Amino acid sequence: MSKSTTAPAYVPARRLSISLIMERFGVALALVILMVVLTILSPEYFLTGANLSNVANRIAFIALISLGEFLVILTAGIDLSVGSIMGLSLIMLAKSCHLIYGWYAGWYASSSMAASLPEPTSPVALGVISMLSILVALGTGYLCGLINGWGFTKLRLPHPFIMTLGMLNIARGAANLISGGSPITGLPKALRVFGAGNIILFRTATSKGIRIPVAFIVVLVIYFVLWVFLSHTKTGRHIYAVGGNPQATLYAGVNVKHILNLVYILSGLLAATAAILYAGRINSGTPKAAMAGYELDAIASVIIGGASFFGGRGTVVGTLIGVLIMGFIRNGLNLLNVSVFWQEVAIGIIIIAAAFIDVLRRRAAREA
Amino acid sequence: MAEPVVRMEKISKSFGPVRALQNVDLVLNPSEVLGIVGDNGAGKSTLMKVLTGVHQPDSGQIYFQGRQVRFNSPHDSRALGIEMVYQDLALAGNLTVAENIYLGRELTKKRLGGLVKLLDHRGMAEGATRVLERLKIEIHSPHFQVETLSGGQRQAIAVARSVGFDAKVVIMDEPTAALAVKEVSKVLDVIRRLKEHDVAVILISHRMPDIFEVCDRIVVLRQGVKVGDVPRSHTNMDEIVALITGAQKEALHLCQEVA
Repeated sequence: MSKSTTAPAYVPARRLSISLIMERFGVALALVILMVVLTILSPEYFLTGANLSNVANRIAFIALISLGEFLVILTAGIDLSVGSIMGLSLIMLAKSCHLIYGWYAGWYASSSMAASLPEPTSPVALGVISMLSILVALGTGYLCGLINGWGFTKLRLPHPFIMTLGMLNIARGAANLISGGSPITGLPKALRVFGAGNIILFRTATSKGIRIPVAFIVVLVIYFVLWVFLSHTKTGRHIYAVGGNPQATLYAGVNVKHILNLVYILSGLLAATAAILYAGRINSGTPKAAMAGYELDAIASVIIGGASFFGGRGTVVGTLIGVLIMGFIRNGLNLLNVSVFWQEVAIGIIIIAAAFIDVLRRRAAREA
Repeated sequence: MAEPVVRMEKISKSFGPVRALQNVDLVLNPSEVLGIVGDNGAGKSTLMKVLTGVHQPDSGQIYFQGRQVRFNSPHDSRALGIEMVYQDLALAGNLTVAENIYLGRELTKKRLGGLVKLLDHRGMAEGATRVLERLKIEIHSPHFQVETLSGGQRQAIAVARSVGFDAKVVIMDEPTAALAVKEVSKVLDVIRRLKEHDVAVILISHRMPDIFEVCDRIVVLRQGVKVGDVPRSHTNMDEIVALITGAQKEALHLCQEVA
């Protein structure tokens, strides 16, 4: 190995260093420390199955909009509209479900063929109605995402901030217009199962078993699929490449506009999927969901999860951990009877700290 | 002598009233390193953009390996093996060496019985290692993130990226401009290695020492006109500088073995 004499000069000092380990596992470590602290502070509640499945249920929809936000932030963009697209999709879901049910019930009552068809209240009819309204919700998310992408790639607005800020307001307004400003309550069971269902494991005569929310399983499956997509497909790597150096990616023959459109569409679709979970949990569609500012929680989760605002950096797993950290902090402070207002302060400090860590990391990378 | 890889004949290009190129002829022989020099605005970049298909000439012809060609976009020129290495724009720092070398032409493998096409990470790492070894570029692992490497290493990878896929002509625009002195020699080494592998190189540079170190022939442009075309062995830096500035009118050696 004659090479080995010159080799050391080529080994960047950063490899195997503490900073690299921190970059890889720092967020996970923070999550573990947080859980240990909460276990110590709230020994009788925090680590119980009931509390954990409660948290899992609460963060499921945030986890999905955060994943969409993560994709956009990977390309150095921002999507301010994920919360309101979720809210609009939610209204579209509930509204279309009620409308389709109404049409079918009316038609069934007057049709001579009715005898050979399922009754409107039968599980089959409600199942089909649920599926159709889910398609309407996903279509809504897709369309909003598509328009967001066009604003950036076709209208050439200077920054996705502007287009998605516009979309935030449009979706909020539309959610209120369509719903008349009040909740649309009552959804079929087939629709609620994603957001409210539980799978119970290890139930015996003596123990109630472990309740795993279906919503949490949906989240894990979608996160897994997105992980495979981002790390093991061409398009996934192109998303990272666009975030790292759009110009280089363009010169490499990649259709950068196509990639940018895609991330906004995926973000919209994930927001619509979040709406399905949300609808199940509260058994209605409420325009308030569009107004709650969930997009800020999504951005916070992504940044806490280690993604960089400059694009190209961050992982799917990191984003999930970011969501969990946010969820556990809210939950823990609740268990400890800390006021909601202080929770906001705490989360604000954590966002700033996470962004500062990113700054330090970039500085370290430049000096290496 | 083999026929030239590239022959450009009487290329003219105007942008509005600005005549960027006027009847420029250019010949690039196999395994030749050709230096193109000239002041800012002399037409170097425009000429290369015509050759790579970014711009279309107003008049004149381009021949590639003897056949007349017309490039409507960089895609066309790349398909024939003409690769441009851009100054600072060529790499995504957040991706690994292998990912950068394969960016835009990733290898994939069918998985789950042909259901999905996933990336062949191992194949790309091996391919990247082969390319780097061929050009004697010393990077310890193709899995390193590019931003952790030095400027010279990055420039070398940018070249590897372009020649990894059977480039016949590599155009380098100021590859050493942003580099520390000790890094420059690494890039010049890579240029020599390309020559050994029968790749013709066009080097655009303001740095005369670099030009004189690696180039076989030097072309001088001034205000869109070719004013110098001389083998390195027949000239010196003073003459080239005089041609660039206009202190000397012309030096066109007709010693190229062209039909």
